[in-house]
This record gives sequence, C-alpha cells and structure tokens, in this order.
Amino acid sequence: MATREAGKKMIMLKSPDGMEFEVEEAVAMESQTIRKMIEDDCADTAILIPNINSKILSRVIEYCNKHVPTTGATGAAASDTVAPAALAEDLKIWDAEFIKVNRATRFNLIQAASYLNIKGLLDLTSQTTIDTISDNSLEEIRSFLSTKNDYLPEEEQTIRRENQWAFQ
Amino acid sequence: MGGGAADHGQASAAPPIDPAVLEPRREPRARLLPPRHGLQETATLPIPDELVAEIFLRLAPTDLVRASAACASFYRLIASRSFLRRFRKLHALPLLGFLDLSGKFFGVAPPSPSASAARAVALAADFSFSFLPGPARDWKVQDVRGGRVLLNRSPFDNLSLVVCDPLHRRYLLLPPIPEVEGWLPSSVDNPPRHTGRQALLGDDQEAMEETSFTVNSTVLRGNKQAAFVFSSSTGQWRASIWNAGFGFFFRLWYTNGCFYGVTECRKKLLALDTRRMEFSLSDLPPEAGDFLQLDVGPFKQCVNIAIVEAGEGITGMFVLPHHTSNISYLTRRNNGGSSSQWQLKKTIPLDSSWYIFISSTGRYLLLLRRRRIEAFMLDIKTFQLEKVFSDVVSRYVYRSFPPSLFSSPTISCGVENEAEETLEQGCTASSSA
Repeated sequence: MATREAGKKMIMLKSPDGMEFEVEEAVAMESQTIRKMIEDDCADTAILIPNINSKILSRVIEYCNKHVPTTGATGAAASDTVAPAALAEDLKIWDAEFIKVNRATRFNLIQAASYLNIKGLLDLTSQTTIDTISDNSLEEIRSFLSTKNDYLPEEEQTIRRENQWAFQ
Repeated sequence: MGGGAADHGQASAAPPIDPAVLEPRREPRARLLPPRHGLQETATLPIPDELVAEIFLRLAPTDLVRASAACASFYRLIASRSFLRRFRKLHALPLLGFLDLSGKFFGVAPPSPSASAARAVALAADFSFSFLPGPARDWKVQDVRGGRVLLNRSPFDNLSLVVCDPLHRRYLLLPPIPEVEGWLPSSVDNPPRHTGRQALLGDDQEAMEETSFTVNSTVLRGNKQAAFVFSSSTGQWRASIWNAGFGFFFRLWYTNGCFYGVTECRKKLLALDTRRMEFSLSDLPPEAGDFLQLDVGPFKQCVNIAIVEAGEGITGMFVLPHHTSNISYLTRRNNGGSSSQWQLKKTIPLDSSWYIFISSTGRYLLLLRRRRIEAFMLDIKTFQLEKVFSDVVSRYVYRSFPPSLFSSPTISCGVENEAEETLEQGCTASSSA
C-alpha cells in the first residue's frame, strides 16, 4: 500500500466559500469537467469550482474517492482478492448509504454532478426522482418536484387523453 | 399549491422526504413574496429547468409522458425540440412490435414494459396502409426502421417504392430508379432481370432533420450489379455500378451510412458507402469464414451473421456458426473508405445451439430460439438476451416512440392522407402542430 502512495499526483480544488480540498488527480478526474481542464493544462495549482459550496463539494469528493477505479483510497475492500461482483455489491451498499440525505442536499448534489459531469453520481442522485415519477400519482410527483398543477382543466384532459397509455 | 393533503400517505412508496423541507406550508409564505415570476422561492426549492431537464432525460418514455402531465412548464420543457432531440439521442427507440409482409402489426404484450405503448400505436396507426395510393393490398413491406416503413408494389418490373409513416399517415412515393450509364438498356433481347432486388431504409447522416432518411437499393440487371441511394433531402437517386462480375449478394444490412452484403462466391463483405457512393470489398473475419460452406439456401447460410451499429463510427458484427452455441461479437472501426480489421470483442454463450439470427436494427440483434419458439433481443450495450413478449416475430421490427408527445412525423414532405401524388418541396411539417 505504502509504495502506491508515493507517485500520486495531487490536485487542489477550491470551493467559492474558500475551502480547499487536496485530492488525488485520479479522483478529481472522475469529473469529466475537471478531467478536461487537467488535460487541457488549465489546472496548474488549484481549480476553483464555482457554484458548489464546500459542504456539497466534500460529499462529491467523497463519492469520487469511493468510485475511482482500482485505487480504493478509502476502503480496504479494493484488494485484489475481492471478486468484482462483491466489489460492485459493496459499492451499491455504499451508494445507498451515501444518498440518504435530505432533499435539498440531494438536489444540490444533482446540480454538482451535472456541472462536474460525473455520470455515476448523476445517475445515483436522479434515481430517487425517477422512481418517484414512475411509482407515484401526479399529485405526488408535483409535490416532490415542488411544482403545482397550472394546467387548465381542459388542457389536462387533453394531455391525459392523448397519452392515455402512459397512465394505465 | 393545494398539495398539502397529498403530502401524507406517500411514505410507503417514496423514500422519506426531509420534513424540514415540506413543513413550511407554501400558501402563507407565498403571500410574503413578490409575485411568483419575479423571485425564486428558495425555501421550497423550485428546481432550475436545466436540472429538471437533466433528470427528465433519464426517464423512461412512459414516465416522461407522466411527468409532462404534472404541470405546464414541465410540458413545455419536455415538448421543446431541443429537449426531445437530446432525449431521442440518449434513448433507444422502444421495441413496440413486428410487421408481417403485408404490414399487419403485432404489438409486444405484457409483461413487456412497452405493451401499453404498443397498444396505443396499434390504435393510432394505420397499418392497413389505406392512405397509400392504389390498392393497399398491393404494397408489400420491404423494410422497417424507426417508425418508417418501406413498401414496394408489384409487379416487379414496374416497381414502385414508397416510404410511409403509418402513425402519421404520411408517405413519400419515390421516383423510379433511373437508368444509368453503362447500364444495358432493356430490350427484347435483354429483358430487365430484377432478380433479387432489395431495398433498405437508412438514415441520412448528413442531414440534421429528423425527417430525413435514405433508401438503399441494389438491383441486378443483366450481369451488372448496381446500387442506388435515394435521399429524402434531395429527392433524387444516386447510382453506383459494381462491375466485378460476381453474382448477387444476399442479405443486406444498413449501418453507419454504409450498407453491407456478403458476396455469394467470394465470402467477402461488400460495403457501399452511401455518402461517397463507393464500393469496397473486405475479408470476413475468420469467425465468419466457414459460414458459407454450411447448409444450402441463402437464408440458412445468412442467418448466422448480422451487422449492427456500435456507435462512434464503429461497426459491429455478430457471428454464430451453425450448430454451435457461442455468438462472437466483433467490431471494426470505419476510417472513411479504408476499414481496419475485425477484432473479436466478446463471446456470448447461449444455452443451446438452437438459435438463429432473424435481423438486426441499430444496435440490436433479434434472435429466435427454435424448438421452444422464443425470441430474444441482444443489445450491444449489455450483451444480455432479453426475451421478446410477442406471439409473432418477424424481421420487420417496429421501434418507435409512442404517440403522442414524442412522435413527430418521420416524413416531412409526404402527402397527408390521400390524393395528390407528387411531393412538393417545402411543404409544411404538420397541420396539427
């Protein structure tokens, strides 16, 4: 383990509220946005991540740390003896735990994942919303997404009639 | 908002929602704020449109339609061209059913997730083709691709081709395939031999319009083999003659702007790049090498090979040698005209040697398991066999987004409903829009 620590390149990420996070380059590159900046050589010392506060950024880094391939920086699970299936199972459990956050945080995470272009995190954070939309009534969808029914009654009728198959 | 009453009672279905977010009632608070459009209500988190779009892009088509019914702003977002374009790019068209030669539609049944969408299509579309000119029964299905159906009308030597959209009852009657230079004129001594004429639908990859398509046809006349490509953008056929003197190639596939056939006597893969109108001949991979020696009859020989779209300029090929139970999946990068070698990417084990290939569209391979008569789709994204729930399967696979939200017509200049036969350039898209 110790030998691996040696050659790792570190990157500094800064949040707009002034916090700095030192992360391995490989971890930061889980974000396609950051990867592109690094590859284009726009990231000498520190990268300022706009719009993402330190609380959310630290959670994003936590996610990337866990999901970066092969290094297994945080967990002992990433050893060669563990079967890929078990590893995937472990990640799933970890993800489920990770996403137990309140709604505001979750939407902030979606926003961060979208901006930083981290597909796995975006999938994970959107999933609850997706499940809500497929499993619940329209009223519940509205309430979950903080919107209100502003259709005229006849408009709603038309939409429902034209797309009746989706409501069966 | 009026949603207060519904806030309870969803605990079992949805994950618990942070009470801190729901607790403050909207109504009293709203009064304290300036008019709704002026300021964002940060407390109840109206989600920015980009974020909503980001989430909605991940929905299944059915759920997207449900979301669109939640409120008018969601509808506007979802129904916008830019959103739908992104959505279509991300999602493969769902498999809704199959057509037989006469165009009869057989929708997928439960427990397929698309069963209700298939029923909606069966109700909304006209698969009897009564909107086509002439007796509908004369038209025979040649190919189906992304909501469009290519049909031809016998008798053979006076062949008409039509591309139609049964859901929107539009069609485009193609002009006759032209005579070309070097083409022996038909005469009494040299009757036109249209044996084995085949036609396939393709995408017009250069055109950005979603209503653009191509029709790719090969015709054998005398000893000359020619390929014709029709583009809906130009309304014209372009021709390319292949003079190499081998016989007809059987079974065609269209992918990535090329159409492919396997030559009868050379065991080679013949490709026509429809953009450059150039033929190229390449070796089949060794995995496919002996498929021609087995059996007789073109159908049996050919079922074991299929070309699929692997995306990003890569062409995929499935090969299943007879009486074996392993499918090989190979890919090849298309470098303009010159293509690289086939590389074996994956071997997919089957539970028996009873499978045959039926057809391939886009990135999907349709297989039939004989004996038990079960059909499966194989997606190159997952390499999983997915059972197809349909009593009837055929090589004419109907994939489409269901009506009505997504389904803009796939043919722009066609004649809606009846009468007029010719097509005017520049006629407007949809009267119902």
